[in-house]
Amino acid sequence: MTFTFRVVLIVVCALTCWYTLRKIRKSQMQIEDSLFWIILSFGLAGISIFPRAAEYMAEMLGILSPANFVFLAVIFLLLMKVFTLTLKYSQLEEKLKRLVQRLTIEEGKRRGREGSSDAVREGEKESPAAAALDSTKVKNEESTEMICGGGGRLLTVLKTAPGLGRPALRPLQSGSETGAASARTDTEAVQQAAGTGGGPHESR
Amino acid sequence: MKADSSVKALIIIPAYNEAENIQKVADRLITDYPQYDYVIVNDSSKDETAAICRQNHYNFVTLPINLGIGGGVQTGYKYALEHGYDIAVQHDGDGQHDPAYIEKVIQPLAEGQADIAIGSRFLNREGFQSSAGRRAGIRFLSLLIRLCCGARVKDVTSGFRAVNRKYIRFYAEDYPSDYPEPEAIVTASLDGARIREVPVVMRERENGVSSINLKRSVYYMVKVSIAIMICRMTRRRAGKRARKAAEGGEL
Repeated sequence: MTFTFRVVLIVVCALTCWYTLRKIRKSQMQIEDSLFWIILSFGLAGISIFPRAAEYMAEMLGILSPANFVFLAVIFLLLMKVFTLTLKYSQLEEKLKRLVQRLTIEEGKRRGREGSSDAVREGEKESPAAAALDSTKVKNEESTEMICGGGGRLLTVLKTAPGLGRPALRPLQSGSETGAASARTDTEAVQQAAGTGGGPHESR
Repeated sequence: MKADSSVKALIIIPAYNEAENIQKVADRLITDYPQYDYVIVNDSSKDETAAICRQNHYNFVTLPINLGIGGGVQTGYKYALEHGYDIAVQHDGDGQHDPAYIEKVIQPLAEGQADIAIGSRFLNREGFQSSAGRRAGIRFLSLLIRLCCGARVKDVTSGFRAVNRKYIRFYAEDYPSDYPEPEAIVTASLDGARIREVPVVMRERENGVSSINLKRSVYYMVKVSIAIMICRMTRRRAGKRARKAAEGGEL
């Protein structure tokens, strides 16, 4: 193994580590997923520092050049990595499908529930959102404060929308899941606000 | 000491396949500790956990897909954030935690002495102490965490912890997914959080199966150790700034 080759290995290790850490810092990669790359690059560095290891393995396997063994090892690891990525991808697809299906069914349930109240809301389209929200019993102080006149309803949707991003998880309760100890489940109220906002919003 | 009535606390109960334990845990909280709100985060359990929660009208949310303990607890934090709670307390759904200690774990937060308080089995060495192997691993992680971020915590894997408003928001944004407890200490500490430990007594798991075994323990140790070091390396700048700000603000 030539000296140049070993230097290249070290440089590659350093670059991979640095780049990976950069991605983690920018929240573009999760730490769990970075482990493979960090460990791989340290493995390469290790071979650079202890070339005997590669030479020994090459001899064992009947490979002429230790550098060839390094190539083989890296290719093998990459194959494994691609396989595990395929697995992960498959699982993600499945999870996504399930999530979408659940969302769709919940959306359907929610629309069904407020189907009757929608007819009443139609008449209130131009009224200040305050009136609309009062009737949905929103206990969340923040969203009531967001009301302003006129396009208030649309604004309400936008203001409560960030909150609604998450509750794809919450709406999975049916209406009556308030625990005896808790008085703070305004989930339904938020859902209804979403409904009232969502109705006219979607009809555009 | 009575719980301050103006402080709103939420107990986050992550539950995965805890059909055998969840009723006991929830009933105990509802009857004996009604001053706290709670939410059960059902992490897509495959057993009757959800059915039991529905039957008993517990306050619970169900995740459509399994996210693991990290994702489940983070959901609890998002819930706490959205509902405006001042304090969130993580409390396991398997019956190992004793709700009598919730007040103790909230105390340092209510008194403004800490941002995060961790209920530790090892301060007074009372109650269930876990196996020797796991204790050794925990000691190692405790040392590593102290080296990487300065936080002195003995029971780094304890899931019994209270978190104030600032860190409810912090964790709702960003919470580790696999075996999150030690990493969560590091990320918060590097952000400038003041972390205190409070002695508690835990029980051994009554029913059901723990999700830890030997192979996973090894993966756990390796992964958490590396993750802690990576945390240290990637959050250095933010941490230093935040800690300086925290110190400056406290004086």
